Amino acid sequence: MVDTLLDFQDAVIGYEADIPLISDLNLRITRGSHVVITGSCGVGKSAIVKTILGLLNHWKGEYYAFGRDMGNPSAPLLSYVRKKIGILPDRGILLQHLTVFQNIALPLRYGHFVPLEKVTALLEPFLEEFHLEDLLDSYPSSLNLDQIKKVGFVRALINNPDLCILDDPFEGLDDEGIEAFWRRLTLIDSEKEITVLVFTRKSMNRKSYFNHRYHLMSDGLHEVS
Amino acid sequence: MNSFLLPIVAAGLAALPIISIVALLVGAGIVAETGIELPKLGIQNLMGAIVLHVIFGIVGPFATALIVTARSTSGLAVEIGNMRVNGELDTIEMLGVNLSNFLVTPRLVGIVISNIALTFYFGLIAMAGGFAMALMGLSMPIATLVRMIETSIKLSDLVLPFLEGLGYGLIISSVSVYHGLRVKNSPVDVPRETTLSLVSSLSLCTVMLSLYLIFSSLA
Repeated sequence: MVDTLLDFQDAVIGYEADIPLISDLNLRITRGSHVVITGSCGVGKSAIVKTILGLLNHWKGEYYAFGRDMGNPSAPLLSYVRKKIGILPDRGILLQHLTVFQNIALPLRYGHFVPLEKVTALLEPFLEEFHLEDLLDSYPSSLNLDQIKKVGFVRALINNPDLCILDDPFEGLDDEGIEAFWRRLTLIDSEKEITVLVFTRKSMNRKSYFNHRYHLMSDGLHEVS
Repeated sequence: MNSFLLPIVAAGLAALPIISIVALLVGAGIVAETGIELPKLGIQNLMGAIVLHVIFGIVGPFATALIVTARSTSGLAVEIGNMRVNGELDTIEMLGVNLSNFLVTPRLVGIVISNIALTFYFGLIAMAGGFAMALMGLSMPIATLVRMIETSIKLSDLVLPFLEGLGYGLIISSVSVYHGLRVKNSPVDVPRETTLSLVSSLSLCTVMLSLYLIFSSLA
């Protein structure tokens, strides 16, 4: 089993080769660790997320995901890496033409090809915890941001990924929602099964949860003591 | 049928009312024209074969393709374009789901199935319109027209509309999906790509019709 899940070495990150957002990214995420990266709007947090998941290229340097070289990755390699990662994107982002249940089931049904009955069984523990019982047949257009984030969080965790990436998870959540997120993150901490990587614009009030805290600036990451 | 394919096919079949109206009028028009003009040329015995060929082989598939283009091309391009703008396409990929298997293929297959089914439906309703015209406008006994068609019908009269429906369906669906996926991250790309998809689809369908007419006349 690989202990280093993600490894960026002197990587240049950005949407275009000649306009780098981050000129020198060095980051190593090891199994079981909890890492938070803070940074202001537009500094490149979501670009790192997209690079991790292979939607963006790293223009220079090295990037390894789960021990595999991600320079010019093949489609099977991208699929392999993406299936090991649970992602809560910025703003939650649910598919508008699918119900809440279909959204949560999406990575399991169409990524891991899990039967419907098993999806229902895997979803069961999350229903009460995130108050989703009455929302399963609803469409995203009828949900508020708090509910969208919760659905996205459950979707990220339901296949028990090796690495869970949360992009601005607390933005738009109410107090109860934030508490529910922390309860689940603490449970993850006690079970030590899922590595957690959080990107956020705001400073975190539960700093002790994280093994490593970084602040992202255009020249790279700066570790916060 | 795949639960993601069903709504797309159903959306195609929602075109039945407009197809019915157009097909009735077109069928009535073709029978009126052939019923009046062919006797003048002394070839009224070819009426069945000509009506079948024009309705099932030329006008039916093309008119169906025009209606499906008007209804589905813009809808599909807008749907996929908006998914791009809202970050849904990126999310599908980030979740490890194959975009082609989940999103593109069901839409391609759904539109192709709908288009083939609607092509045959158009032909049948157009024939009904033709019968109505023969009976009421030309005072021709329906039995005569039925006999003419019965004696002229060939297997190719059924195979051709299937192949044309398949061809037009592939053009319409692939053009719509292509232009939907061309949308970048700006909402202003959506109407531009939608217009382009409509124009491209209509142009390519017309090119296909022209090629079919040229090559079928040479064969």
